[in-house]
Amino acid sequence: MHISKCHEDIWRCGRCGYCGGSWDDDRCPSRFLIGFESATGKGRVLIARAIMSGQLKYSPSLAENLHKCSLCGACEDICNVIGKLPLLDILHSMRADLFEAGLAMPRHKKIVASCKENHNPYLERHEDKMAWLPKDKVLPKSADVYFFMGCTAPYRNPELCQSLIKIMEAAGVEVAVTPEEWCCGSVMLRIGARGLAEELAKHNLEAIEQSGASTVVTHCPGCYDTLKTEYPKLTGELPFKVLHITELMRNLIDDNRLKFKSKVEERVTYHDPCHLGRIHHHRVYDDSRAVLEAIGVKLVEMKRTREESWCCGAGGGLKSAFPDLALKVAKKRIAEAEETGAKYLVTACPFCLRNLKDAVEATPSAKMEVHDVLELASRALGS
Amino acid sequence: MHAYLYKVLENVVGPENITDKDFDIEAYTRDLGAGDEKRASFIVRPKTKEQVSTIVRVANRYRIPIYVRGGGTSHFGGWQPIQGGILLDMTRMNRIIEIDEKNLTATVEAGCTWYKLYKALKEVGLTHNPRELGGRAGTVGASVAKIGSGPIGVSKRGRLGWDVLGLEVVLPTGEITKTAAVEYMGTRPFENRGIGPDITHFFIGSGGALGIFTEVTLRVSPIPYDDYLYFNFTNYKDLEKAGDALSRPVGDELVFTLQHDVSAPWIRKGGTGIDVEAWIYGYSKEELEFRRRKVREICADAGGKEGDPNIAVRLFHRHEGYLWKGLPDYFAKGPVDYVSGYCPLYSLHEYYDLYDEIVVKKHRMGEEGKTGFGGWLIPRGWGIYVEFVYTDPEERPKILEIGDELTKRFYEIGLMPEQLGGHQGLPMARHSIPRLGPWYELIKRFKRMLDPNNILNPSLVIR
Repeated sequence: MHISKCHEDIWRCGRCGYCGGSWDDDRCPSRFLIGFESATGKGRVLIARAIMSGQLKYSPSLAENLHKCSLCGACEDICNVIGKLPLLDILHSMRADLFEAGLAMPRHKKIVASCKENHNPYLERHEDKMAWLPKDKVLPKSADVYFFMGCTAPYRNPELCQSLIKIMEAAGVEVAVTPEEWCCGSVMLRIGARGLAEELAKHNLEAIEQSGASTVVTHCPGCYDTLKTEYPKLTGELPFKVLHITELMRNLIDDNRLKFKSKVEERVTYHDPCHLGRIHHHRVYDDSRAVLEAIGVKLVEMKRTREESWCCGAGGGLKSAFPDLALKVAKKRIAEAEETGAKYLVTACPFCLRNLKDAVEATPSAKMEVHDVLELASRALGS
Repeated sequence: MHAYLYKVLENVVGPENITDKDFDIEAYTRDLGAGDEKRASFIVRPKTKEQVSTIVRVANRYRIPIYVRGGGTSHFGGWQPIQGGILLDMTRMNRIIEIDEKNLTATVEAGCTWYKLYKALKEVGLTHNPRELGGRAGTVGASVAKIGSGPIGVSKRGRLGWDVLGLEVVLPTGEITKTAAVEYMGTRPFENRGIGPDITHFFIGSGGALGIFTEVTLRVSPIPYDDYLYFNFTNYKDLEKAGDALSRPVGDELVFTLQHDVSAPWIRKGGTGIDVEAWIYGYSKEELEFRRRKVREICADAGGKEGDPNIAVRLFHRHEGYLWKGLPDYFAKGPVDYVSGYCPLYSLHEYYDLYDEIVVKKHRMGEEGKTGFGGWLIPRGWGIYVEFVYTDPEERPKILEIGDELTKRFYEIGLMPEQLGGHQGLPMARHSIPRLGPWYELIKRFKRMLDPNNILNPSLVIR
C-alpha cells in the first residue's frame, strides 16, 4: 500500500484538530462539504491508521469521502504550525491506493483513459493542443524561455495563451513552445494514477530539454507545482528553473522591460490559487499583486488571503468528480469577494478562473466579473 | 433495531448529519490521550437544542447511551463512547448568540470554539479568561463540561467556572432548562451565583453525565494592558515562596498567569532549572508598571533570576491569539499524554520530587527528552501537569503504565484531580474514585435521580 510509506507520519499525529479548521471560519473545504471529522486531516489520519492495521478496508463510500476534497493544502498549512505532518502526502497516498484498488471515481477513470490516449485530461485530441495559436503565428521550438502550456488554457481558455505570448513579445522575451508537450501529470497525481504521472513527466522532461531553455514558465499553478516539486523527485535537480508567469512578469516590470500603455482603473480583488501559495509552501503571493498594481488597479483584499485563502474548490479532482460540490465551495469565495465591493475578481490560475466563473453564473445576485491577471495585463498593453 | 434507530435519528437531524459508516466512526475514536480507540454506533450532528432534546428522548426510549463531544481534544477520554451508542458532535451548534458590551457577558452555543469567541470579543475590545488550553478546536461547552484547564488568566481568576454565569442544559430526560433562574425572569445572567442553590456550578465538570450543555453565558472583561517577564528558578521551594507572595493579595493577585516548567525540551528552551513565565496586566499603564515592579521584586527576593522575556512571549504567543496559534511545533515529535491535577501552594515541590523519582530517575524518560513537568499558579495553589511525548502505537502501553504509577502516587499525597474521571487514558478515575468517599456516593445519587435510565455518558459516574 502507498500509505505504508507514510507510516511514521500517520502515527505522529497529535490529534489537536487544528487541521479541520472549524475553530473559526471554515478553513477546510472538505469539512465544509461533509461536516464529519472524517473529512479533516486528523480524521483521515485515523482512518489511514485503521486501514494499515486491518481494522478498516478501502470501500466505494470511503473512496467517495476521500475524493470530496480539493487537496487545497489548508490542513497541511495549519498543521505546519504545530505538528508538521505531510498531510497532502498522506491524502495522495490514500488516493493512489484507491486508484490501484479500482476505486477511483468514475469520471476520474475516464480522465485517466483520455490522458493515456490523448495526453490531456479534457478528453480532447492531442493534435488540437496548439489550436490557440493563430495560423499565421510561428513560435520557436527552442529558446531560453520555454512556455509550458498545460492543458486547461490551450483547450479551455485559449485567450490566456494568446495573452501570455502578447505580454512576452511586448517585453521582448522570446518563448519556445512545442506540440510535443503532454499533460504535466498534476491531475494524474491528484487522482492517484502515479504510474501514468511518471510517464508524462519523463516525456515532458525530454521535450523541455530539447528546447534548450534555462527557464520554464507556466501559467497553470498545477503545472508549476508539479514541474517544480514533483519532477525533481524523478530525475533529481532540474536543468532549468521553473517560474510562474506572474513571477516572470514581475521581474520584467522591475527591470523596466514590461511597460503598460494604459491603466485598468478598476476596483479589483485577488484570489490566491492554492498551488501557488499553500501547497509545498511556494508562497507566490506578491507577484500577481505587483502586476496588478503596475497596471493601475485599485486592489482591495478579501478577509482571507494568502495562506488563509479559501480554495476555489476546483482542484484535487473535485470539480471533475463532484461539480456541484466544487461550485458550493466556489460560491463561498464569491461571497467573500463580493464583500470587498470589487468589480473584478482576479486570479492567476485557469482552473480557479473556470470554477469561480461558473460560481458567478450560478449566483444570480453576483455582479462581479472574474478574470485572469493575464487578461488584464494584456488589456493594459493596448492593441 | 440499528437501522430503525438510524432512521429515527435521521428524521431528527436530516440525512447529512448522521452517519454510521465505519470510516466516519473511526475518525471519532480518539481524543488527545494515549487511551484505546472507542467506537460509537452513530455520529449525530445536531443544530438546535430541540434536536438535542429529541435525541435524548429517543435514547431513553430505546436505552441507548449518549456521549457528547466538542472539538475532541480532551486528554482523558471523557467523551469516548465506551459502550457504543450515539456520539453527539456539537460543532454545528457554534453560534455566538450575544456579546453584551454593557453588562460584560457573552452567550454562545456550546459548540462555539474558544478561538471564535476570542476573535469576536477582540473586535469590541473585550476578552475572556480563564481560558482553556485545549487548542483551537476546543469548544466552550466541552470545557465547561470537564472544567477544562489552562494557564491563561488562571493565576488571577482561578479555574474555569468563576466566569460561567449560566447554562442551558438538556437534562437526561430530554427537558431543556436554564441553570440561572434569572433567565426565567427575562434577564440574561449577569453574576455567577444566582438564586439559592447554585445549579450552574452543579453542572460544571459533570462531564456530559448529568446534562448536555447547549448554551453558555460567560463573564467577559476589557482587554487590559499587558506584558511578559521571564525568570529562572533553581528549585521548587523558592518558586513556592514567589507564588505565595504573588497570590497573597487574594482577589487582586499580582500576575495574570504564572507558568512554570522544567524539561520538555521538544517545545521549550531546554535549559537547566525551572522556566517561569509571567504574564502581567493592568487596566492602566501605571497599574501595569506597578505590577511589573512588584513581580520583579518578589521573584528576585525568592531567588528567581530574570532572563529574556521573549521566552514568555513565545510561550503565550501574544500576537497570535495566545496559545491558539501557539504551542509551536508542540506535536512535531509525536502525540503527547498527560498526568495532571491541582495541589496546595506549599506542596508543589513534593510533586516535582515524585515526578523526578518515578519518571526521570526510575523510568529514565528525562534522558530521552520525552517528558516535562510544569503547570501554573492558581490563587493559593498550583496546577501541575506531567507531559509524555511518545511513539504511537509502540510506546503507548509504556506511557499508560508510567502514567498509572505516577497518578496513584500523586493521589496518595493529595493531588486534586481536574475532573471526576474519564474512562481511560491515564486512569485518573481508577485511583481517584476509591478516595472520594461520601462525595462520590452523593454524585451517584444525583445521577440516578436525573438520569434514571443511565443514558448520558453512562460509565463516567456509575460503573
